[in-house]
Amino acid sequence: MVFEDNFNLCGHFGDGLGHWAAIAVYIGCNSDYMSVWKLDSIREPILLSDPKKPPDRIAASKLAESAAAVKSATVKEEVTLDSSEEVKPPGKRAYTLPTLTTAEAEIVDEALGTGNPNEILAELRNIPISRLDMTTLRPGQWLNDEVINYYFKILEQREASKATGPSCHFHQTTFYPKLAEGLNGYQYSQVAEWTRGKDVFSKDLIIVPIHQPGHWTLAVINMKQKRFEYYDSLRGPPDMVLTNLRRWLEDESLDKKKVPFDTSGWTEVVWKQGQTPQQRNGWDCGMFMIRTADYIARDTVLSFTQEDMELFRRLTVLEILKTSDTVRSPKQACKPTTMRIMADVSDSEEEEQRRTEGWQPGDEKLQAATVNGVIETIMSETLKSERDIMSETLWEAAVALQSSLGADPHVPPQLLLVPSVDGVAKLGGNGGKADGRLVIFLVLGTTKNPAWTANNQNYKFLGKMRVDPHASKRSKGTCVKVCGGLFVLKGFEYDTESKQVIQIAFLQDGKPRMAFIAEKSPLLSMSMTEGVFSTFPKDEEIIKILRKCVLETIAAEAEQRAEADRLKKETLKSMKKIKKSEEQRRR
Amino acid sequence: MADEESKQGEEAKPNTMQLKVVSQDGTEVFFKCKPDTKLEKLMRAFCQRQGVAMESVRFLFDGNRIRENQTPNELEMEDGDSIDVVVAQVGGTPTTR
Repeated sequence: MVFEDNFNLCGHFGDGLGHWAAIAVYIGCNSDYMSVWKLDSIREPILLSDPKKPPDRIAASKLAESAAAVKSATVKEEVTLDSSEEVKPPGKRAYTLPTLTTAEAEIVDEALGTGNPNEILAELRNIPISRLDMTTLRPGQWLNDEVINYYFKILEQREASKATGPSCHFHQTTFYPKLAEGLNGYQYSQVAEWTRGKDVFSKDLIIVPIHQPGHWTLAVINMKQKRFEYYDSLRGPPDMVLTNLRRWLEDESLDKKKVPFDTSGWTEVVWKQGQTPQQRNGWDCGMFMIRTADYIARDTVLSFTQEDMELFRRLTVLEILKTSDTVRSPKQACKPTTMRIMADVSDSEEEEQRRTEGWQPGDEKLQAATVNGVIETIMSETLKSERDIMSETLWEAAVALQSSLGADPHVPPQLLLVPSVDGVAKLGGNGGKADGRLVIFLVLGTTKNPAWTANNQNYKFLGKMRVDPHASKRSKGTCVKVCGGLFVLKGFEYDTESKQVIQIAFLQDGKPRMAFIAEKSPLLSMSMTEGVFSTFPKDEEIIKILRKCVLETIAAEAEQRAEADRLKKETLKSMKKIKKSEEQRRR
Repeated sequence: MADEESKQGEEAKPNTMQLKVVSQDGTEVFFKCKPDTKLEKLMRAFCQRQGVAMESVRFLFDGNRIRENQTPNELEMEDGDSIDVVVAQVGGTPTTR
């Protein structure tokens, strides 16, 4: 691994999945301070000492000691995982995955397809799944709480109706944050009412979905084995989760049964690779989490792998649609697009018609010329003054690009320009509200982040995303294209509050990696120097690729629009016909 | 509905009740509402006040999701009860925070 010069690596290990962790000692430029860090390829570095303290020999030796202690502790942990073969997660039976029939596949495709994002596709015990929620089950998307809570309700229903297998209590995703992540930390009273009338002590398993920042994991209280278990598809630390659940169980007994509950003999297990399935990308953790819960509740061996996730996503869509407790005929389930448009028409037919007819697929040549101009402006402008990307020229260019994409006037796109990943990402556009608008972004620059500069190269890419209105603060998107050929970008996360791209997920040499972009990352702030906004040469190749992907984006969007347009027009026509014939009949 | 009204009459419930909406950070917002008013009004008022989108938060009563078209009566809410509001969560891979 390549580090900054002043990072002294004490020890490191990888897990063969492209993840690695290391203990490093950081010594300040003037040797005026040193600190010990635990580094991890997929997480923020964890500071193990205080860098602000003035250095003295005792402190330095203590730091070295603690570094050595952490190193040996971590290494020991690694060793124990391999030797702890006799302890296994619950689940004994084998389970063969079902496959989708053609008819089922059609239903799934329709539910995952485009349409009114607010349309409710399914509802179970007050949890609605809108079309937008459903899109989180598309491949490569992050799962949201609605989908997970809905799925846990499915599991709860299934558990109630079956006669065999372990008895389970399922918590919702809101349980843990309410219990332990309030202002005052752990507070049992916050959730005391949530289990009123339920006897969790009579269950075999208490299944708790855990939401870490941007990450889904699962905690299970195994009442039979007297164990607090933690399932993380990326092998992260459980932090306080198991301790807090232990406390909750004790408090629950005091509150509901009025007797103390002794958990002193109970163990805590963090399942490792080989014991709980591991994800190999930056987006499937939610899927791994709900399937782990599913398998454990079924009493089946956790035999699924990353390869099953695509099918799992589709199966989940089907299960959601099938279990909906709202009245929704199968015909409706197959043809909601038409239903929606018909509803729109009845609301304001004229307006709908005007909007439909007003849209014209613009002159392609003209469009291409505009795009070329825009890109050149962006490039030259960025080259001229990287610090001042909010210039008027660029703003105009952003507006031009936005209109050239033929964007829906109701959801104007934004152009997001990131001068350098080390610097603060600036937005060329207004808003930044999580409202479902399209954001085109362009990242140009250099970085000193070791995760990025393994090959010591600049990178440039263009991506697009839709801000997820369900994510109040963070949003994520998919990169459509890679420029430069260094990385295969798979997705990124965008903070709608600070208007920054926070992190990027990419494949490097076929291995998943994450890079943090926000200044907040201590690794970045350490390695960041003044003048990272260095100019780089105008790269004809890059411009060419950028141009190509803008055009491709436009073409794809136009195709989608044309298709939607055609559908709308057809529906309008048929609606008119029906109305006419009705009128005639009346006469 | 008629059932509830008669019940109201029997118990001589006051016309308005106070409900507390509690955010994750502990902020409490009090609302006065009628027991048979749809909670949508309260939810919208809360979101408007906090400057958040309706879709980005979830409202819970005793841990159970509540929907816009439900009323305090339906949920057997009492004067002074609190409604929890939590923000939507997404996850795919660990992030900085």
